[in-house]
Amino acid sequence: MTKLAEALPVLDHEALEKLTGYQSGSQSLIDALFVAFEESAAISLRELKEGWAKRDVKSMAQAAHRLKSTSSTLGLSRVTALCKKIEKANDLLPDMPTVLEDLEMEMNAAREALFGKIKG
Amino acid sequence: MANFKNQNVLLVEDTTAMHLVVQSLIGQMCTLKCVTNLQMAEDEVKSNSYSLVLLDVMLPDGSGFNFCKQLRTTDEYREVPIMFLTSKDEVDDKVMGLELGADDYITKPLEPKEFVARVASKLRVQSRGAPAAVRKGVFKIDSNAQKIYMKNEAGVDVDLNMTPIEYKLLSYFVKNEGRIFAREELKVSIWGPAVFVSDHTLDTHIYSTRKKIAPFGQNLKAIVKQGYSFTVPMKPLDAKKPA
Repeated sequence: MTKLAEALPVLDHEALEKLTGYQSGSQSLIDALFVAFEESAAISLRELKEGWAKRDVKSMAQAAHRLKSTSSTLGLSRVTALCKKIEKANDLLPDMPTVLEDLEMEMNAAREALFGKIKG
Repeated sequence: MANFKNQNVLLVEDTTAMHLVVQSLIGQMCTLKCVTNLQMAEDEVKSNSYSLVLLDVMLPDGSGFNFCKQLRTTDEYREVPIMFLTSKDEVDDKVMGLELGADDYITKPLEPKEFVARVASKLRVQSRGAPAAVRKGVFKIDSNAQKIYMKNEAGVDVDLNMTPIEYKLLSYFVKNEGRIFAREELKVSIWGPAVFVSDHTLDTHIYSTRKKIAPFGQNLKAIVKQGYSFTVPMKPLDAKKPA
């Protein structure tokens, strides 16, 4: 795992609670957000891998930006940080394969953390 | 929470998560419509009156910055308040958004309390200023005074002196430009479902409305076996062209 991601929590509980605690019916909001993350994360990861295969920096930046938007909203700090790194890269990063591997791993961790929230 | 249910807010954002969050935060406070791209946003802004547009920057079919610029350089939409809602958090991006004419710039992740307060503040200003007049093409529709004005060649808005039914008809057509309305649909929309209205009565009001919007009467077209449709004239100068 990159040091960048390691320094952050998988899920910023405070951010998510701030969001869901603002309104009643917060549990249903968490459920719906989990579903939204599941759907968009899979698409974004696929786009990122395809972008890397084509060495297409622009499409990778767009996919990373979209995923960052969702992950930052949910308080998924590590996923957000990795997306930001991909988005900000103006050129192909030499360590991109590692970054993508880390991202996929962190997305799985985020999924588990969110699922824990739903069960909790 | 403040109630601005009579005010429409448009969210232009391509992620479902943000739709859910914004809906949960301000959905009870105002009438929120969510769209996922700029083409849909453009259609919405043209067909409805919005008190606030919440606009993402990176969208599937283009840049929110360009859309903001487009609205700010179009007479009808120059005054629509725009608040950027984006994860582009660099100072240069914020400055660009504000310089393009946005009224506010909020970065994701949202701070819920602050976001709600900012939206409420914009809507409060809108309701206080309350010239509920909406401009579309040559028409200006003032829903407070229930009047419709038409811009003449000198650029002056002239009161069309519409009757209440003519006002309802024309404002309905203007808001739904291009749509074909069956007679029955029009009757229900204008008079309500409980009132019986003959075809003749409807035609009479269509006729009088056409006369009042001359020389654009033919823009209110009868479509054979379908009903009526309207095209909003964009410039008063069109009056010089032969019909």
